[in-house]
Amino acid sequence: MSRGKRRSFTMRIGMVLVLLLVVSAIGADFLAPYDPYKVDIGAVMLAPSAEHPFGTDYLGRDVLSRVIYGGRISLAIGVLAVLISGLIGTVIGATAGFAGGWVDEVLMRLTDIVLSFPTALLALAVMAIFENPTVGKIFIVLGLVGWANIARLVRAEVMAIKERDYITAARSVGAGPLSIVIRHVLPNTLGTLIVALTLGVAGNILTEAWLSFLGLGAQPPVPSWGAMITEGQFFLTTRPWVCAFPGLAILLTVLGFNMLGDGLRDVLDPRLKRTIQ
Amino acid sequence: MQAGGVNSDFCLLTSDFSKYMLSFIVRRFLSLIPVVWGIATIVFVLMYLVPGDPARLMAGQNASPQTIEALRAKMGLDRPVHERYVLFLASLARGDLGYSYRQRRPVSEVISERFPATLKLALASILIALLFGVSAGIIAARHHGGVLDYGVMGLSLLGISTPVFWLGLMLIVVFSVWLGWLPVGGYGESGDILHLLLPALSLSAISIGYFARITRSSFLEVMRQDYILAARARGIPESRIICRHSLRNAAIPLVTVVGTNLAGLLGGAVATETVFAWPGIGRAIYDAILVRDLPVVEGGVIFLAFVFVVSNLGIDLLYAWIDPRVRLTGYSGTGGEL
Repeated sequence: MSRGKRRSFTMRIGMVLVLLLVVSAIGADFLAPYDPYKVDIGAVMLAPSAEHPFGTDYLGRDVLSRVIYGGRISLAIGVLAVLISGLIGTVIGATAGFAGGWVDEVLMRLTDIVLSFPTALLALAVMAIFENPTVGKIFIVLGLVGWANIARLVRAEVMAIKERDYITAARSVGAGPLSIVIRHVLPNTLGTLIVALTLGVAGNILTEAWLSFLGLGAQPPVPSWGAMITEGQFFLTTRPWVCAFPGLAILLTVLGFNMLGDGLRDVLDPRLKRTIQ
Repeated sequence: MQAGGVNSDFCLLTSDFSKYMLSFIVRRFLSLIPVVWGIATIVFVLMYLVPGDPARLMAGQNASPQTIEALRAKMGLDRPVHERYVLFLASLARGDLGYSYRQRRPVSEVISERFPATLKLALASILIALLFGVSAGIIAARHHGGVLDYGVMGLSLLGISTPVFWLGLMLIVVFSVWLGWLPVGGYGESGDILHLLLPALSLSAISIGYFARITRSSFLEVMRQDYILAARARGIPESRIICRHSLRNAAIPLVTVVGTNLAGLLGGAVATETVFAWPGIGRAIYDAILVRDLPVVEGGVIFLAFVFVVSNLGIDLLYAWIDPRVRLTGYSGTGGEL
């Protein structure tokens, strides 16, 4: 009873946080009180006030407006990257699980190798190569390195599902392997996939912020949360709010996706244990 | 006769046992090769794609064309790609990670100079994370479904979701700027505990979260087992049950999570060392990013990846030693996210 209550509680908070981000990202043009790029030399480094609730940065730009627009970047990168990894992971996992034999062996060896990579460091190594790293490059790189755990999950699901009676039934009426996978197997892996993708968004947002903080992502003046913290840290001791608010935004967003994923796991996939791993 | 039979059975068992262990170790070592080779290959492909002439960068701005040409020949840049690839792998196998354009010395020298600081930071973070994470997990499990459980689980989710570099900055604001208790950053004389505390604490946040969660769930699992019930029935005190019977078994999943967390820890160290001006490999990578000294960036990443892979090998062996079931089924290590 109490467990069920907590589950829905976790998921509800997660959903509220994620919805808040989505709404502010979509409605940034209406919600942001100022232009996020507007430099105002007369209003540099102002402390939070009614006029500028999150204060202003070293160029007099409104921190609240920049945080709101930053949500667009984080959300876009998090979601787009996870779609790329989801697509690659699903294709590889479904192929391995359904084909079995040497195909399975080869694909899973590959997956194991990628899984034992420290993927964030790999993304750093790739981003460092570009002379001008951009937001567009980050989501592709993150998408390309993050598919392995999804492939493994999908494979396990497919292996379990393909032995069920309804698959045998579909096969016996002459359905081809591709149509069986797409029409009967994949829809049944959707629950696992959604959980993995939701948690993947959280991981990607965190990694993007980390890369942008290191100067390997969105470049100034683009209002990315990670880059805003980089700019703000030079004034950390006297004007901590310039760093504090973008970081808080990252924390709440990642927390939201983690809670949502965690809650969804209990609803969609009760067989799994209650841990994010 | 019968006694002899039992004895020889026993011998067979132990020899099988060590054979399994040996084959497990060999298998695990072999599985290291494709991973390290894969990382090296990716880095080579990246370096090959970089625009610009490494020889020119290395020779400096005032070098004559002859010097650059000689350097190109010396570095093997005039050879075809496949030869350069073999040369690259061969030098990597010898521990040669290239040459820093800026610092004008081998990357391996930079890394061996910086590694002790990173190791110190990483070990301190793991220790802090184990201390807080495991105790929090046990507290949550002991108060399963209660307020403390909710609190610990909420906090651990918060920890998992924290951008560590930002946490580092906020800790500086509170403990160094406002309270003035701890230094803002740097290494001090030799990385003493005062300088170590804040970076290690901020770096451990994510691991604390993961460790608390895994400890809690494996503890709950163990506490349901019959032998715990049996121990309770025999009147063994609760504290002894936790320390002697539960903790040991609950430690098994924890060991793997320590391994998977290492990736996040090493990645996080790049940002944490940057924030705290901690003179480790991460800071060296960051400084190199700023001046586009790519050999240091890529060499540093290869080295950290290598540390990660090797530690996970060690952890797998440790795991097989703790849990005999693993040796028979051949568990393989998994990667971690930041």
